[in-house]
Amino acid sequence: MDGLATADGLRPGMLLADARALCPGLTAGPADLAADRMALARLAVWSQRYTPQAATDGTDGLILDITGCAHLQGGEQGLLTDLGDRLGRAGLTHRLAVADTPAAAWGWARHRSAAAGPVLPTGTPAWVSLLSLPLAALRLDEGLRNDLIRVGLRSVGDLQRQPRAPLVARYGTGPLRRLDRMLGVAADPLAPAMAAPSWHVCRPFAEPIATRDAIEAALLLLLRDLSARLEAAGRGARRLLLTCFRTDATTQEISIGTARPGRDPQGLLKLFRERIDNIDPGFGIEMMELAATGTDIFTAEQAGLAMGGGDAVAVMGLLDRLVNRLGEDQVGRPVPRDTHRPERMMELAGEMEGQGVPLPLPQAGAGQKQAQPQYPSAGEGVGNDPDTSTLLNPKPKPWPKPQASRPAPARPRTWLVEGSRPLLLLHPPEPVRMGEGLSWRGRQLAIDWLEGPERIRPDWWQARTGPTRDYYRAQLADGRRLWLFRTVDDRGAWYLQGLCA
Amino acid sequence: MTDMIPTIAALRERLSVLDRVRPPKGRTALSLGLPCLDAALPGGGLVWGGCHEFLPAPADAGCHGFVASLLAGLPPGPILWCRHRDKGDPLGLADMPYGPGLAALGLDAGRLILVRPDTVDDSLWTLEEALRCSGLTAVVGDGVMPGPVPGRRLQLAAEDGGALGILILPPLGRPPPSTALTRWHVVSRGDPPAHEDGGRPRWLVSLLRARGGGSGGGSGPWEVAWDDTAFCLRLAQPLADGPVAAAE
Repeated sequence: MDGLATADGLRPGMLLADARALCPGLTAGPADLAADRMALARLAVWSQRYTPQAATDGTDGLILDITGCAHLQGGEQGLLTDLGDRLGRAGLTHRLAVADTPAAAWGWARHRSAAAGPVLPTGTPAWVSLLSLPLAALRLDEGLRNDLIRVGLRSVGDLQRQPRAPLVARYGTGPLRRLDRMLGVAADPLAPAMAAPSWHVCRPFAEPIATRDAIEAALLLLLRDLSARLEAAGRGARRLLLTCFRTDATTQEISIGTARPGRDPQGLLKLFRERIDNIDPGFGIEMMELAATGTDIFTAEQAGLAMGGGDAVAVMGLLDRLVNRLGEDQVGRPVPRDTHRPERMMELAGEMEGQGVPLPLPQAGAGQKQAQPQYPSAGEGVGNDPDTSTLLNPKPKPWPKPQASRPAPARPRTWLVEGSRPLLLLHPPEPVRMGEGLSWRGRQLAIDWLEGPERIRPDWWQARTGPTRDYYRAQLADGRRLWLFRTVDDRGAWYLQGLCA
Repeated sequence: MTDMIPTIAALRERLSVLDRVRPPKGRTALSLGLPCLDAALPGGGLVWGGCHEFLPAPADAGCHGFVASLLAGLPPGPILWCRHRDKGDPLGLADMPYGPGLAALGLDAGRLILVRPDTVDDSLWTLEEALRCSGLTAVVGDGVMPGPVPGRRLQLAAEDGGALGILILPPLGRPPPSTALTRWHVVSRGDPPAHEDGGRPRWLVSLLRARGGGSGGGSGPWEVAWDDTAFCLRLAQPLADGPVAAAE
């Protein structure tokens, strides 16, 4: 609410009709609270010019911890003048205050009388000013504040003079906690906003480059720069995006992903090599920019321990190469799903989503044969940690994507099912004709025996249910075993869904 | 002259190890699950660090079943299964082996890394990269027939990586010779239905060729059946003789 609006009598929380009555030329627009929050966060980052400890406060405030920083701007008064000037030039209406505690500064900035100066003295001398503030300066809930005003407590001082125990018994600890924070009796920590580290490196060239060797050499330099910065932050890249700026003002992009955070320049370059051919340099590339669009905490691992650490790294490296050449949907690990439909029982879990099932690597003392199939445990993958940079990212955060798969059920899932199952599952099922023998793809096949039916119902918990199917296992005269079904609705239509071992 | 004979024998021994005909000292070859099959090979089983080919019959999953039963006997570790789909083949509709079916043969599908490349070139590249990787226990190439040069490359990669390379060839009538260590032919055989104590997977396995020659154990064919209660292979008795032999 700026000075002009206040002068016209407008207040926050007013009805639009009332506001229009006061000020007929008012233009109204919908509030974009997310954008406001982003702008405030950016302002907090900007205000780190005064102190590293800057934090957003509520929806309309900033708190700066200027302990030990004020003298750089000529003392507290000098800092306030400088800050006020800059905010004013940016067109921001502001009220500034300096106090011992964040709560006191909040109250003093918003509720001091017009004649009072912005800077409060240190220690108990400030109490006189603070205790004279109205109760609203304590930043209590509106209901609580109204309750207190109704019993005659109109200022902070009124509250402070009351005996504490009856107050807590009647109104809870809230009012006194706020009071203690304002007067510096209780701690009031800050959560400073930090600028998001940006994982961008770029390299302009004196002459445009066009050859594969030159691109590779430049890419290696970029990777070295980036990995040094990632190493300093203890992180590794999960996704990398290389942007080539061409002389004709167009860009070419290639990206890679890794199954585990990596920062080895040679290893990452190897992944890029498969894609470099996709870059069309045109008349030449004059700048290359490398960005880590996804990073993760890099956990150092010692290779060659009994857990097969070296082997795990080798397999992860192999998976990275496969995924980056063949595509993410071509490589996966089978995961059993709880469903009755045979064709949905096996799903492929991608390696890149960070939800992969842990690899069953050889344990120490391995070597004995396993006679029984192992029951896979409910695989809980390592999740990506949330990216802290979204708060300060000027771009609005995209909507969270719906999860591709249902969350893993709590009980261990297993591949073993009652009844026989095929080794190769045909999907979609092939229609066949059943008469004297079996007719499949124009061939007449003699049936030795037919075993069944095994009735498999659709998933009752799904909204879209298909028909119930009766499954049969058939052995042909030549020894092949097939897995057939027909639906209960149309008993004459047979389908071939798999081949058994 | 007589003292040369042990030397020559030792050199032959070393050569056979280098040729991957026999396993190196201290390591054993992978057993095929039956003594009579193992005895057919000079190494006493499938030698690690090499490619072994399995030739199926058209539109028959028996060969896949036999390979799955072999893989179930491997020491723990991830197995890469690379399946190339031939669009013309009826089995092209199945783009990967099916987990519940593998479990019935004792192989936990959770150990598998499934790869489905679109082209033969990508399949061969995948197999070579995987065979060279030291962390995998076995690499299965399903549906590709490598030519002479790629076949040689795969063999060299397998020697580097030390994993077991298994190639399930496309169902060709007369596949060209290759540099693989062994080549087997596996087809499904009929079994009596379940109510007559049958209905189990049963295969006719024959050894087509083996590097270093056979070991005198013959080349089959052997009729083997999968025992789905003990999770092992056993030699199938011809139906007529089985109960009679047991009675006698």
